[in-house]
Amino acid sequence: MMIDKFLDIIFIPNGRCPICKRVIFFSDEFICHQCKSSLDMVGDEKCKKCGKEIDDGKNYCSGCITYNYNYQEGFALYNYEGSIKTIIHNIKFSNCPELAVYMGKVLGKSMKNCSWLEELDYIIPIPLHENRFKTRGYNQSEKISNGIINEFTQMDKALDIKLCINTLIRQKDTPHQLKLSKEERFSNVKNAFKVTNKDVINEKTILLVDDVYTTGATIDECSAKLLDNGALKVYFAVLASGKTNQL
Amino acid sequence: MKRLPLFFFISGLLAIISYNIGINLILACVVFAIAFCICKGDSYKLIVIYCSIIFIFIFCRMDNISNITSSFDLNKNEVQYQGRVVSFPIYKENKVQFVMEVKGAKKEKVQGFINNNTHLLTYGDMIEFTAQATIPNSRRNPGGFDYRQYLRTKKIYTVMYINNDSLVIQNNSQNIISKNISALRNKLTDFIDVNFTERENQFLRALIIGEKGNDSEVINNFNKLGISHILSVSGLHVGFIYLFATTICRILKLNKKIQIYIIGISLYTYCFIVGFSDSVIRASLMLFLLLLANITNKKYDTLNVLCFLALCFILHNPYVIYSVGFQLSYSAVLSITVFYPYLNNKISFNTKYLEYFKSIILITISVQIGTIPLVIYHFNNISIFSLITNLLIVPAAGFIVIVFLCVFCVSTLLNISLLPFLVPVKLSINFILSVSENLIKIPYSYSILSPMPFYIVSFYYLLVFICFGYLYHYRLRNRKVIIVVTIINISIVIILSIIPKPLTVTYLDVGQGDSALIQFPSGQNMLIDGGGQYNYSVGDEIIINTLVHKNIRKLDLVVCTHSHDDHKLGILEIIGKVKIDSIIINCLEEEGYTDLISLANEFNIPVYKNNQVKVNISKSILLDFVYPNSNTLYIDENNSSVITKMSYNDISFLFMGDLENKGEKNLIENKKDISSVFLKIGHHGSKTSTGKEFLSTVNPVYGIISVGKDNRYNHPNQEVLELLDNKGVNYFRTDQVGAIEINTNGEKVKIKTYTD
Ligand SMILES: [Zn+2]
Ligand SMILES: [Zn+2]
Repeated sequence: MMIDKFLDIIFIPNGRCPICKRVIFFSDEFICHQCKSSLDMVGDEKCKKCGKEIDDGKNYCSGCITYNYNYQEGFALYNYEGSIKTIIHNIKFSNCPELAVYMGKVLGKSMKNCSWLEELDYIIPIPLHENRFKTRGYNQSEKISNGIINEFTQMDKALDIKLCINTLIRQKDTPHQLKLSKEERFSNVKNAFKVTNKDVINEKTILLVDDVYTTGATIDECSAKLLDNGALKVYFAVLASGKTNQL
Repeated sequence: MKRLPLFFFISGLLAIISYNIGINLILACVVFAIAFCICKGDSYKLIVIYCSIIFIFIFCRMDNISNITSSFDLNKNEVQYQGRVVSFPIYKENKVQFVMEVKGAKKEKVQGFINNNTHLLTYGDMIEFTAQATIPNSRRNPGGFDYRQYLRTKKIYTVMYINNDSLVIQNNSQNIISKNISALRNKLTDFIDVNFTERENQFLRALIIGEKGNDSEVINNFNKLGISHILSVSGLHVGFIYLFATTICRILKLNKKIQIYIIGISLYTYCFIVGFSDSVIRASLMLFLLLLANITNKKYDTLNVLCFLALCFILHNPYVIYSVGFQLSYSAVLSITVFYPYLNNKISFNTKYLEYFKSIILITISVQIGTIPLVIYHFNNISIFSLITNLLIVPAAGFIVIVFLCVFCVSTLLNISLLPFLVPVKLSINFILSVSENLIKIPYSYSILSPMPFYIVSFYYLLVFICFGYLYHYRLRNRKVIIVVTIINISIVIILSIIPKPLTVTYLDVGQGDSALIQFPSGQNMLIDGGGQYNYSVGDEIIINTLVHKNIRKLDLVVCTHSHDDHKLGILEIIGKVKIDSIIINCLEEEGYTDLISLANEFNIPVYKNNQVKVNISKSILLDFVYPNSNTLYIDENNSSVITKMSYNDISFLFMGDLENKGEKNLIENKKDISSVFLKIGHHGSKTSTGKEFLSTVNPVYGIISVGKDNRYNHPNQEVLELLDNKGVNYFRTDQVGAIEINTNGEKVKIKTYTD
């Protein structure tokens, strides 16, 4: 017990900025100021459905025009470009759950202007398959959700939104999506998810949380499963979303 | 709140600094109380309380240790003692040195020396001997080595020179652990002794077990080339041991608890073998904590670990902060932590080989960036080739350590000879040695630098941190504060360079002999005599060190008062090592100076006779060689001494060389004004000098006697001292107070002595 406390004082999760690798001396932040301001935030012009940044002055991105997604609306904080890739890589593969929580807080803070925030009942992180959860030790989406909830409870008008895990589970251990084409991604995640407890989500509005949104295949599949099982509406929030021109 | 170890370490450091610059503990407590009131929030208030506790503890401990002195009777000549050897003895030719625990008034650690040693001592020997206990020497000259403080960092306060004939080794008492580890170490040294030549042996002993026997050329070269770190057993070696142990654990698939024990034991064994040096303990503990972090699935944080370990060290003994090993070891790791990952992230290559070279280069650069002020302070030089040498030598040294340890382990375990496998080791050693020998020959391969003043050091670090993007703050106001601090720092540098410098006269403690260094306000420098001893190079060890420490690159004038060796030898030793513009000798004895003149000719230094030159320094400073004249009759060497009179407005100095009564008589008859405030007493205070009449004529306020401790001439003479007392002359003796430094602006004087 004593040893554990002592180790917690010495080993801190945010000793170094994950982007520029400089030592963080005195701040409680996880990313240094220079790097934080260098992250590419999604601008004002964004798709009204999925929240991706668009630069051709239209209301919807090409993806949302050609395909009718099952979810209601989505929010993305950063464009999936530059340094945010390093952060997401760290969150996923470098055993940094605390960084994920921190990024969740940042995400939660910037979501306070979303019009649909008060409709929400539950937050459901995109689940990992059991096997991958074991190797990684944690689910990064769940950690991000923890951060979001933490931020929501500290808002001026505190929101009472609960985390809901184990209701949606991943039953297929699908391979990484990175090298797949858009069509392959959609088929890859087909029937990968399962709802275990219908009653919980019945007539509820749900926020899905993930790290990155590219084609929307995963989130769309989850939304479909949730809606099939009685959910009212599904929104989503991600740390970063790929711009329209990449896929 | 994060980085508690950093805060704690900084408060400890502040305590040490405050103690040294004489800040009152009560004042410090007031500051902490104010900080406590200003801080908002309980967690911050708690941190202030913790910090103040650490501050007060270390402050008191500092005070405590600085008051500890030897518990032995220092006045008695030879006393019978009993003790136990508690370090691995280091043999140098026929000398041996070791640390022992001696029973006196209480049990105390003592640094022991035996000259003309005929005994074979080992760790743990119980010994009985007669010796005289003495206090170690503190710094006696500018830039000199402070042995007292060095030993204090190891909690040793006494030195004993043991009489070889009186030593009796009774028995060996060690506990089981240290017995086994000593045996292992003996096997290791035997293995090195048997399989390697003398030259390789020295290098390997330094590399593998950190034993620096002779102050050999090898170590000197390594210091100059900036690669001495590979000879001081350090993180590199401990890293290999750790790697070795973890690999074995992984192969055997041991569980985590057993892993901790095995790695802990092997690190402890290695620390024991190399004699618990600061850097090895640091590296071992860091690796042990790394292991703990891995096992408990926590994120290892080098900076915090480093601060925590440093804090433990200074809590144990605050004086460790003065240890060169401690300073370099911690600052090197700190620089790697702070600078290397950033640099490494900035520059990336695709090829693996390039990445490897890049990381070595960048680590070297990071270490250099962070440690340069310290390296210059301690070693007075930096090498332009250190990058190249590091690139060549670090991998070679790593290779040697790995192969050597493997061969050693296998051949001792299986009891077979694996001589062929040692060939690559030998080749690498010779490669390293020849690289260093050849590089040192290249002109300008290293440059001598003087310690930087504190404000330049702080400015340097400020600049480095700004360049690396630290100290950046998102608030413009805070960024402005940093800019203001920088500007203040620059203006201090400028102001300090404008402020008129005083005239500084330093009477060096050269043992039996004479030497005085004069720094004129205009920037010129003069040396009067260079001391000289037969078994010790005063020129190299004292004069050059002083010149480097005072950042003097050129002596405009060197006066050699007469041709006796205790005045001349030191000058011969520095010719060619420091630029000399001209040498002045007395006009009476040409023959005695033959060696000096020929050496000066070799280096194209003009030699003048004292009556041939007139020296103009500045309007306010008069420099006159008042004696001997062209018509002075030659009596003997001493009575031919050049007498220098120097005055700066109201303050005047008279340098007498070894002039005796006959010469003094001549000097008075010359009717030149020789009255002075400071008189360098002639001939080391011998009774043949400093007559009553002469002293009345000079009428000094202060006297300086340059004399060696317990010299065989019995200088200074009791009658002369009594005469000085009677005349009310306030005199200083270099054998008692070390070097004497006098600063004057022409009106007031400030006298500083190097020991108390
Ligand atoms: Zn950064
Ligand atoms: Zn869209």
